[in-house]
Amino acid sequence: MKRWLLLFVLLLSTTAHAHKPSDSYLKLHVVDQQISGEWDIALRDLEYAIGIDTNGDGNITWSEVREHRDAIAAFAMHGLKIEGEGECSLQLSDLQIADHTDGAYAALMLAGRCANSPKEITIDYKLLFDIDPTHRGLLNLDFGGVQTVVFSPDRKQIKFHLGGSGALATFLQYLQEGLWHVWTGWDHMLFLGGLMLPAVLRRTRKGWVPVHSLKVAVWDTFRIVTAFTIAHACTLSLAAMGVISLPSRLVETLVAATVIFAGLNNLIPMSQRGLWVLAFFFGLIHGTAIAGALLELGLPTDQRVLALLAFNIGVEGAQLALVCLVVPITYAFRYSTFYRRAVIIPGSVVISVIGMIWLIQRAFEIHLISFGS
Amino acid sequence: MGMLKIRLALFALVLLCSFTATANPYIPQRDDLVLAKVPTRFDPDARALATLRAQLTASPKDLNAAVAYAQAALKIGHARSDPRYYGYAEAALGPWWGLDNAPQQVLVLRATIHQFFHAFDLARVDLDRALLRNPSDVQARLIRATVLQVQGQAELALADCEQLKQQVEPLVAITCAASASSLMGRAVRADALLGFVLEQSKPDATDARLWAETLRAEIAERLGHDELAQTGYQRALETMDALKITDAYLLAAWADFAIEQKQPQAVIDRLKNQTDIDNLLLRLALAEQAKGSDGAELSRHRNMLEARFAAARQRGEAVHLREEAMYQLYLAKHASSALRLAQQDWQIQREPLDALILLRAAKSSQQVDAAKPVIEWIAKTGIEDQRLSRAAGALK
Repeated sequence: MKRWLLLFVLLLSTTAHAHKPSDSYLKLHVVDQQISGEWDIALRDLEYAIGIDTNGDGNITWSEVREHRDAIAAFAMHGLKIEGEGECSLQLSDLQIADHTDGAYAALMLAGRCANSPKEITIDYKLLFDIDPTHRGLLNLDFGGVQTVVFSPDRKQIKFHLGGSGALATFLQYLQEGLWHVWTGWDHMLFLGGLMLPAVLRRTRKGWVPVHSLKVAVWDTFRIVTAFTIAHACTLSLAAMGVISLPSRLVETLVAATVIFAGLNNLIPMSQRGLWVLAFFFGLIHGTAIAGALLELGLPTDQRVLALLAFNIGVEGAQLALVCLVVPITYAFRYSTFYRRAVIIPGSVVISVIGMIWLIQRAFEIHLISFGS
Repeated sequence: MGMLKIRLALFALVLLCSFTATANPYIPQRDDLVLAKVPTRFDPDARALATLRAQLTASPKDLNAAVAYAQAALKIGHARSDPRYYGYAEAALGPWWGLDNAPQQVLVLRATIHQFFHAFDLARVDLDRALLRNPSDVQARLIRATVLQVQGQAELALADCEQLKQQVEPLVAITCAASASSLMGRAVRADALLGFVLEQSKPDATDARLWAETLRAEIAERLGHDELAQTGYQRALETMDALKITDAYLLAAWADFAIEQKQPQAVIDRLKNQTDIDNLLLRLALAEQAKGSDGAELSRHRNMLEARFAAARQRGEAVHLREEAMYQLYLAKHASSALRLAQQDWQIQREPLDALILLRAAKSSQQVDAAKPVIEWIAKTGIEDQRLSRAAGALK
């Protein structure tokens, strides 16, 4: 009986991996006949596969890597074939080093050429699979649009079409998410509603006075909404990139505070001029709050910019649609006292009260109502 | 500043932060710059593995050569918690890997590899077959007992442990049984048995003793006997040090306990050089957060964890669900993400820690219903665990 096997199993089962498993990062760009790219392969994997620690001292140095340039190139190229309506050539143009989370990788700069300008290419990847079937090749291919796939022993050959649906699909998906975020996000709706309710009116010393033209009303609202979106987009992007990270309880509580403010401001004027500046600052807070939701959705790593852009365009689009829908209606009623007494005031009260309940719930983590939170 | 200027500045900011942080390749400045550490030519494990590898390369269809190599690779993989060696073992077993009816040794090795990658159901299939074929296969039975316990089926695990009694040393058999029965409402008895068998066994530091001592500390912690747990963990850590190994399981369990006992500094001292083990990196960050000082270290460690989770996601792997749920709940404070991960984790793993994170995530995201499967599991198994009782109580 082999005792070691017997026991290590027992102590191991629920221990997560210490080291990252073996991955290579292959980035390819195919334009017409030209292929360029970068392929990062872990030095540890190269050592196990072909042996690059020449002096066996356990340290792989830069000169040892360079010494094995040809062997590394031969080993790597054996594991990668590209066909595009005929064979495509692929060579190592330069060898550098890239640092990943788990250590240094050889960065193979690739250059190649296909016989024709292909509309379709097939990539065969089999690097390391024979010595480590848990190895994965993470491909990021730009072939008229970025696509990402993972090569594994079960999926060694993949065909790609020019243009790819990748970028467009991503854009549409996140555009929809952005629209959806506004339509289903009570936080967002109530806050904007609070700011938009009195858009067809101007507060003067004598009280509310209707605006003269629809253009003014729409323009005022547009400014508020857009300032909000820009601020929102900015913090959202920062948070989604992991540049800033605030505890969700704090952020959610602040969001609730902005909702209260938006409602109260219509009842007790606190800020009248430059509501867009206010919307901007509050937008900063709301942006941080929804980053969590967006992260959960999972941003595609290669198309983060596109995804974030699409999401924010979606948000702005939904808001502007709301403006176009609500402002003309409220504009029509701008002279009516009913609108002021029965819509703006009760509406603002409701908004403030909901904001208050949220604030208490979120700040003290107690459950009062289950409306939209 | 005019509105246009503000907007331009903001657009620039958004664009700037949109560039993803990828590794930029570079040419090192010095020839002798050390880029990576690998086993040296004198490393005994690596040398033994290299010899076996050469034999296997000479005759890749030789079952004995493949099994010998795979066992050596798994031994190193275990000692270093390094998944690459599990991959090497899998490759060596290549000619038999796809066979349902593989040779007995291959079944057991394949199950070992499957359970390492948290493919517990696949491991079960192989072990059931191996034990059907040879009911006295000790390794297969011991691994199955472990897998069953991880899957929350302590009763079935206990049955396997009982079968081992005649076949292995008492310390191993009793620890196996105590481990299962302590999850079934018999923790006090399990602890007494463990105490007895530890006293009867030779006091030398062995893997079996380490296992028994770790379990004893865990049982004391679950029963709420904090002082006993404290000394129990200390004893287990001493045994681990005497064995000159790093047992990530023990260190993680102890760290969780020490953080709850408000001793974050002890955790920081012991784990600050263990950042390459994800599990322990998480505990280090938790201890730094609990201590509430040195934000720079904490945020550096948080970024490292994020990067590792992201890398696993890119591969499409789900071996980090529990740790990621803990990260989301305790460090990132995203309760809803934590709950989603904890629920996925519960489908794969059902140990006390998996139950705990699901209960706490359900509480923080105010989704009482999500905790139902765990509450039912607690009632059904009769598990005694103070942390679980408190977390379940908080949901009512």
